[in-house]
Amino acid sequence: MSTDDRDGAKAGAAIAATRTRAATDLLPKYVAHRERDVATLRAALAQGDFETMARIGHNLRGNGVSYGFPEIAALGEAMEQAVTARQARGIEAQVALLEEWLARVGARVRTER
Amino acid sequence: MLIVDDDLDMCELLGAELTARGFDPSLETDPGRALDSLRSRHVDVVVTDLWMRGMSGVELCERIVSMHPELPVVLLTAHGTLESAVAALRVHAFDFLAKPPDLDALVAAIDRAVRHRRLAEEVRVLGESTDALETFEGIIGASPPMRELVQLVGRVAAVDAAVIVRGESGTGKELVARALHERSRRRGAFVALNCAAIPESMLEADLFGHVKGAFTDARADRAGLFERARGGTIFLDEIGELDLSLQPKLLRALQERVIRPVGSDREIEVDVRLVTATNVDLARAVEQHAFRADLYYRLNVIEIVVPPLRERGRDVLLLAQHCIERAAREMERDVVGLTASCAARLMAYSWPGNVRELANVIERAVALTRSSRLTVDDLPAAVRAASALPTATLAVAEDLVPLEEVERRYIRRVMAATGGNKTLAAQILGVDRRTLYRKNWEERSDGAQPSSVKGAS
Repeated sequence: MSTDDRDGAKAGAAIAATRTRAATDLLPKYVAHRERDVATLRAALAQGDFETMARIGHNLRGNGVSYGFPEIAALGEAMEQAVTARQARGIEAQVALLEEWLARVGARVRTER
Repeated sequence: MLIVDDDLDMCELLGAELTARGFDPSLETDPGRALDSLRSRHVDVVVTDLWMRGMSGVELCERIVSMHPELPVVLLTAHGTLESAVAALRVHAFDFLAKPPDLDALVAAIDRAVRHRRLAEEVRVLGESTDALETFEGIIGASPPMRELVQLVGRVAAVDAAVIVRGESGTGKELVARALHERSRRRGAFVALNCAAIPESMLEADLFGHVKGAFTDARADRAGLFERARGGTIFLDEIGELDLSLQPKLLRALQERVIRPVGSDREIEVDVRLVTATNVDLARAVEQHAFRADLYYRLNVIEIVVPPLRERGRDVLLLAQHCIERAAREMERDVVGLTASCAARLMAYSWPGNVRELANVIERAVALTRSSRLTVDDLPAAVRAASALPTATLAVAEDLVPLEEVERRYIRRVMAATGGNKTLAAQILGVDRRTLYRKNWEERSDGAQPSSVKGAS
């Protein structure tokens, strides 16, 4: 098991302990929406559409904890700050983190289903 | 219920959580569309996010409140900051909670909001219809015990038997006595006397009359109540206070239908119906030899019990509205009703002084208020402080425990008393069945999920 796998499993276990049944049922949809966010963010970055990036950052900050993913909330907050500072590289870094999260946790959600 | 959040994930999650708790929420991610939908549909409560594209939750709340003043809006604020709390208050949000909301706190806020909404609706309907409610000789009440009382009075009125009216002070015993007279075939006068208010030395003359010279101040013959009520009804309040020396004379008037005025050697035939009232336990007074048994049985042919106001449920609001209209007319004040919060306090208070106390509280409030609808601030401190829990819960709080524990114990007691019938228990507790189901479920040690229950819209 790789370090990433272990981290993912650890995160998954911690999440399962705190997430409600309603949130668990909605997880596949939540992951699918984050995949869509990555595509939207990449397009917004290319067009300099900071408003869209701010909205996605804000939503991630709001919904991350409710779905049992505090790291998503933290990522959303960092993205909002980068948008406010108009730091494209900072935003890119958060998009990369989101992709990494999808690769770890998203895959796990899919296999659990 | 309508949930508004432009974040689809949050909107759906909140919807799923509340559905799991027995609600039936509608979801809307566009605040503009949410506002439009409220023009044509009825919901009990709106739960909205604060930070949304196009229209903020504060603006949405403001527009909803201006469109439907009694529709409660619960705002979910991003950080629970002071600024957002102030903004929520400024636009008259019913409640506000920090995101992510604690679901139990959110459900409690929604329950409160739904109760508030229904009470507001009830108060509004009351404002339109109290004139039509005064149906039975001034007796106002639609609660089951008052319906029973009115039926009993209707039946008893036609029977020319002695009636004893029992009830706490201020419950309206004289009103019942008057209704008995008005609905009877007796065309004579209705005469009322409070036995406790007249000095013992004067009571005999007041009841039976006196002749000139019977005592120092008796300068002329004077008819007593029994003569003045000839062919009618005498109402003697606080009959338990009647002195033992006068009791045989009253008994004779009832049995023989004759009286003898003070100082007279002549007996006068009388034809009256006697209605008495007491707030003391006369049977016990008989046991203690403070009241004659033969008189007690003579008076107690038919007993009518007037329920205390705290057992009359929504009658409190009917009576309050009636008193508001009467006081506003008399004082020429532009007061038309109650706010829902004020109504909730009136419902929560125990009214130890019963209808009389309520009438006084309302009169004072109508005189002092600066609004067209009475607010909580217009009420005396004791009523303002009334808990939203039924007063009967105090009976189970003999040891000092937190309010939550009092609620738990009382629910258990009502559930036991109703043999586990949740519909009946919910009616008694004044909550909807879903709320009771949830609370009772929390009580169960096995923690099993309740099966699906239909909730509020």
